[in-house]
Amino acid sequence: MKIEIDAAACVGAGQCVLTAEDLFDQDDDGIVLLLNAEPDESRYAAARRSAALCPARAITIHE
Amino acid sequence: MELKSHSDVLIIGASTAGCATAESLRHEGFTGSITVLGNETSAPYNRPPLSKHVLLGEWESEKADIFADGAAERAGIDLHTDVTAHALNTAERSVSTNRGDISYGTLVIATGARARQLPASVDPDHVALTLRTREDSMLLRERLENSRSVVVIGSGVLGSEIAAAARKKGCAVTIVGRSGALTLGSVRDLLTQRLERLHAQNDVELRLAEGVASITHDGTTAHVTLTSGEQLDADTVVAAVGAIPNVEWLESSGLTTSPALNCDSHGQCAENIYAVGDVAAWHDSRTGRWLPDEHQLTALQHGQAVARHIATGEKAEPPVPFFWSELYGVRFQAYGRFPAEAELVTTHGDRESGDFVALSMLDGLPHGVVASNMSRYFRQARPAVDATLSGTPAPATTTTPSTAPPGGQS
Repeated sequence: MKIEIDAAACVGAGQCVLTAEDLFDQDDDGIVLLLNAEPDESRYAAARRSAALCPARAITIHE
Repeated sequence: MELKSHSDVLIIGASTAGCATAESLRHEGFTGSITVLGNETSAPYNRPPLSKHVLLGEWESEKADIFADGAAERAGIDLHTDVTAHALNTAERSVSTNRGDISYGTLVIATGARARQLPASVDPDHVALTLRTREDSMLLRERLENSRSVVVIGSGVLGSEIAAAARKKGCAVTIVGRSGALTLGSVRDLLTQRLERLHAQNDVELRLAEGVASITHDGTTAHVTLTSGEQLDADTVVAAVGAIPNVEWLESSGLTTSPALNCDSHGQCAENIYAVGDVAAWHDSRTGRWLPDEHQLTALQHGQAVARHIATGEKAEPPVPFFWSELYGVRFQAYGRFPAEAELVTTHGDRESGDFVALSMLDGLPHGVVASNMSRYFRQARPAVDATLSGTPAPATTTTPSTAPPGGQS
């Protein structure tokens, strides 16, 4: 799995951080920061959930 | 692609909620057939960018697409555009469309809502544009490029967003609102002073507590006459006066549709039938009412909750309203509920003029959080709101840490 983010689309909702704080963080403007682009299999479900819940659809999962 | 005559899950409406249901069914391990029918010719798209990046011309409209090229096919989702559903027969478990009848195992209704038009008595020649579809956004974008003056009718968040976009394009802008206050989604009129100031700082004229008596067009210019008698001339007039759920096709189905489709707190409205997104009002067990919630995240969460229920039988927590807007580079976000009897308490910043975070406090508990910028503080306040709304409250801190740097806290 590879996680891709689109910072230009991000609206800073923080949904991803609340879902998987080991994979995502926010900068001072609230924009998404990717902490781990290639997570372990144990975190695949959390990564998928983060992408699905992003209101701006700024997270893409490549599997 | 051929339209099959049966689908295990049939989703009517290629909206955000409809597409989220289809995608989530696969994530939940559902292996049956999934068909999504959309009545527009366009590929499915997300709405929020239509009044923001796309309207401003910063994004090509394709960037609002829900599915990347081939993604629906790869997920085994039969997606058909330009198909209109005419009627639902619940006894036969069948939907009739302009492409024939389709039977279903489970039906998901995701037909969304459409822009409310001004009454014909006010605007008989349909001078006012509306903004709801991708096509609307592209037309308005072109018009803003070629207009010097714009009148926006509507004091809600969409009206404010259109006004901000028109200003950015260099147009002179007036907002006309029947309500005496500017509203911002679920936060209602709680930030009206802040919004009024923001528009004023950006040279937008406001005419609040004013109705529109008539709109005419003389071939070159539109004339908007207000109930006070004042006349506003404009190159472009836009009406952002709400949305109407698309339920007419369900008239003969026996389902309750007034004005939206009433569902239980998990999105079910009849045996083997669910409704998601803007067409649905899910029951809120906390208040005992049916709550329509026309926001992007709710549409996604509706889709996910219904998909889980269909695939696994598990019930998800009902969604908590979240919405955001961006006006003149200031990002507003709101999460949770803002009941009229609650008090808005600022925890960070300055609500009247600058960036801030504020909690909607009721009985000493935070029911909602709203922020202008300060996204991290906003996020950090959300779990306390979740705790209140899920019935396991933890007291929230409403004092401002005096040593915290503005906008940043880890």
